[in-house]
Amino acid sequence: MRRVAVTGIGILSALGRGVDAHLEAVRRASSGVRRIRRFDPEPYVCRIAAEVSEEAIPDLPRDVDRVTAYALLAAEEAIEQAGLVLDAAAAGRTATVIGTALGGSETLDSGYERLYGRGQTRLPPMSIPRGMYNAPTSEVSRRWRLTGPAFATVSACASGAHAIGQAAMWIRFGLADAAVAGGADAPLTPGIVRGWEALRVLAPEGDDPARACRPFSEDRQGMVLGEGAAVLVLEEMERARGRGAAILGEIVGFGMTSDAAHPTDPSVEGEARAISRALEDAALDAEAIGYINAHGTATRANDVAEAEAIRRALGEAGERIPVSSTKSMHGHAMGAGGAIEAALSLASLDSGWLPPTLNLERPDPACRLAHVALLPRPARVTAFLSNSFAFGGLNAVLAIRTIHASS
Amino acid sequence: MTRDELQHRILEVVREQKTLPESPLTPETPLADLGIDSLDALNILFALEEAFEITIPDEQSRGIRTLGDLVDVIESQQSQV
Repeated sequence: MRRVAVTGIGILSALGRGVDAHLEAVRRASSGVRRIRRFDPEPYVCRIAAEVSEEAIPDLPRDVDRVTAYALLAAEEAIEQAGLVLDAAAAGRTATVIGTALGGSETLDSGYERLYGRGQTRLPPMSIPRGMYNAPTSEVSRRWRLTGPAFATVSACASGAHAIGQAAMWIRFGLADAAVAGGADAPLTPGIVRGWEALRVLAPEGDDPARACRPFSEDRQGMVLGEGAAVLVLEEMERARGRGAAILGEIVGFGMTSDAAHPTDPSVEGEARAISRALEDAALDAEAIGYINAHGTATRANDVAEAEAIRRALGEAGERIPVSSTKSMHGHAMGAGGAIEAALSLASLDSGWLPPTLNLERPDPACRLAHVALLPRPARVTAFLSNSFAFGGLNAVLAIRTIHASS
Repeated sequence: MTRDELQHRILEVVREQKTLPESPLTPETPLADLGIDSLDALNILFALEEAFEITIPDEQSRGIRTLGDLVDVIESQQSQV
């Protein structure tokens, strides 16, 4: 069977721009959650978020929606790191899949504000091309002239994980030899924020925004919105080795399920099946897994169900395998989340560190797991899981081997 | 506003949307020769609608080929205000 190597990683989030900035944030156990700067948050219930800092992105492309601009910056880092050689033949065998939950939020939100807020009837001509959900995929494909298979995955907060899994399957089954795959979202707009407020799941500002997001904690207060993008360059293993590329990891398994149940409540069964399928697909025992990056949103509904799903799928090992939710640092980046979490976990584990769950001083007894609480921990992990469980009951779990796996 | 002044103002708006060649422009210059593609044209029309506070109907916009056509359309819309 064709194997799928990871040869490039690019990440942009509230923690900074680039893999190095993220590794630094992991080691310092720092949070990217702050009072919102992009618009005046005073009239809002939601006053904090994990915003990408404008200082980190002076070169942000302005001719596309922010979500696409984020995807382009993350893809640029990943493609440069991979050193992909893209002649016409190779480009024709290179796929592009960028997942997004909410698409061109700024474009759509500002367009509706013109229509309904200001009573104008004409919208900017690029409203549809900028706002459509495949814009990040299309622009990444256009920028690097990647002419292989391409589309966007849309599965709310699992979009980025589905994108990586999808691209890995294409390479495995010979539809492509390489892929630029990941997730992007830029949902910090008044309209989207008001939508989240209506769900009553957001953590309040409190005295210290950095302490607001507390996944698996007894005193959790809800989720914190985030944004950004992460992109992996995936390549067929023999091709990557043949050209002497550095192999950063390997996508070894992918599990997808649908709860087919509640629109927002998680299903332990659906999540556990996704975890089990990822392990089966990877032909790995639970014992082989050295870390789990949890979906870990810091809502009671998610955290308790996820902890139970991990134990149900992995048995006794589920209580011993170190688990953390890096959403405590980079917030809930929607469709970018699954990609940011897989990318950050791989980079962190490759560098020898388990990333932590911040603000986890008192673990909820209903979330009995081997938490990596408060601080990063050195470890040599050869394989890990990255969980993404979306609203609408769509689950995606990636099984990834690290640089430490002997091949 | 004279027709010359109008053309000057239109060109200002166009230049905000698109870098134009240095070569001299005449009313007969086809917009396509200035490197203005279909999407550029849409952005330019939108900017002109905003700048002159007019609405250019689709049927009128389809007939625009040259800089002179553009001036005619804006002039006709302004006279209706």
